[in-house]
Amino acid sequence: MFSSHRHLKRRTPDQGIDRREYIGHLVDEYYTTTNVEALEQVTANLANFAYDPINWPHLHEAEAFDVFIASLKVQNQNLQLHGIAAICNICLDKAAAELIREHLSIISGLFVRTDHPVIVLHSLALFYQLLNAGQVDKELLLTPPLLKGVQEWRQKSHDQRIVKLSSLQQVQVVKRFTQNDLEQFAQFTGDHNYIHTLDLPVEERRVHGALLNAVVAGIMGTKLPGPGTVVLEQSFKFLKPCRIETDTVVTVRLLQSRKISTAEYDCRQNDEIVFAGNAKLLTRIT
Amino acid sequence: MESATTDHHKQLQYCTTRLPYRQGRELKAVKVYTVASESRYLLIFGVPKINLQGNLKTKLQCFGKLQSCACITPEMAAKMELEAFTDVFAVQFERLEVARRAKRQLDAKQFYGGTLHISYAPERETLQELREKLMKRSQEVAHRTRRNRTDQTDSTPAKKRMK
Repeated sequence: MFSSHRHLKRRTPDQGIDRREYIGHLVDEYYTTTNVEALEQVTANLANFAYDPINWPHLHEAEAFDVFIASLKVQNQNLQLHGIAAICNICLDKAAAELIREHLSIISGLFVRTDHPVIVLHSLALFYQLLNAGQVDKELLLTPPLLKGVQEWRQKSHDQRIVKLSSLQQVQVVKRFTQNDLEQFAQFTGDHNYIHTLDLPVEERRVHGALLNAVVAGIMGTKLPGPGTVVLEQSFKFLKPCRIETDTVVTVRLLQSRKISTAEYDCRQNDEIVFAGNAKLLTRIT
Repeated sequence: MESATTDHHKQLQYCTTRLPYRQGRELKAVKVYTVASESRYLLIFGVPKINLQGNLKTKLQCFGKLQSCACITPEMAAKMELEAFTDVFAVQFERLEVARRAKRQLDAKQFYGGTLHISYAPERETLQELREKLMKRSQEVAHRTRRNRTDQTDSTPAKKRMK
C-alpha cells in the first residue's frame, strides 16, 4: 500500500513517533535484540515499508539496506526471505540500485543455493526489475550458475508463480552466417537451390529458411524453455531475405508457460525482421 | 525444491509478541509482500456453502470493476484442506488497487456467518498480465516519488511529536 505525507501525519497519534523515527527504532532493534522472533518481525516490517517510496529516504537515513544484506547472510530462512523481499521492494530506487550492484554476488549467491520457493520468487522479481530498469549489467547478473538456476526452477517447479516469473526474460543470440555455413547445410540436407550458392552475388544470396528455423529450435532446446523441449507445432513467415556476413539477432520469448507452452520468435538484421513465427512446445515430460 | 503450491494461501497466525512501540491497532501476521505477491486475482476462502455467489459478487462490485467471480471449491479441495461447509471463490478485478482494497477491507471479516480469508493469487495471471503488473509497479513508483517530492515542498515538514 502507498501513503502520502498528509496520510502519515493524520495516522500518527499525538504522543506517537513519526515514520522516520519508527524506522530508526526498527533498525536499532535489529542490531540490539537477541530474540529471533523479534528479528523476524522487524525485518518483515522494514521489508514491507520498503514497498512504499515515501519510506525510502528514511530507510536510507537509517541505513536499513545493511540490515537487508545482513539478513541474506544468516542461516535463518525467514530472515533471508524478509531481506530479499525488502531488496525486491526497494530496487527501483536509484540509491538502492547502486547498493544492490555493490552486493550483487551475495544476492545472486542466495538465489543459486536456496531451496525456498518464496525466496526464489522475490529474487526473480528483483532480477527482472533490475534488468528492465537497466540498473544492472546483464553479463554481471546473468551468470551461468544463475541462468542454470532459473532454468531448473522453470522446468521443475509446480508453483505457477515461479514458473511464470522464470519464463519472462527473453533469450537473444547473435549469429553471423557465412557462405561456409550455407554450403555445409546444403551438403547435409541436399538443398542445393542456387539462391543459397555462389551462383548469385552476395547481395542477392540468402540463408536457407530452414537453417534459420533450426537456429531458433536450437535456442528453444537449450536455453528457453531448455533441454527436453519438444516442438509440437510451428508456424512462421519469411518476411525478408536473410543475408550472410550480417549480424542476425535471434530472439525467443515465451507467451505461455505450462505443460504445453507457446513461444514466439524472430530474427532481425539491421533492425528489420527477416523471419518470425510462433510455436507450441511440450515442456514437461514428468 | 518442492513445496505445496497452495502454501501461500494458508492463513498464518496473528503475531502477538510484538514490542508495544510497534504493535499496531490491529493484529497482523508476520508476512512480507512484494510486487510478486500481489495480484488482481484473489482467492476468497470461508464463504458459507449456502449459495452466496450472488451476494459475494454484489459485495465485491462495491470496490470496483469485477471481471470474474467463480466458485472453485472442487479444484481447491483436491489441493488443500478447506474449512467444512465453505466455498472458495476465484475472483478477478480489473485493477490491482481495487483488489488490494477489497482484500484489506474484507479479509478476516464476517460474511453471512462465516469468516472470510482472502489471499492474492498471482499464479492465475497470464505471462502478459505479469509483464504488465511489473511495468505498472515501476510506473507507480515513479509517480509516487514525484508526488512525494512536490507534497514535501508545498507543506511544512512533519515535526517530531514527542512531548
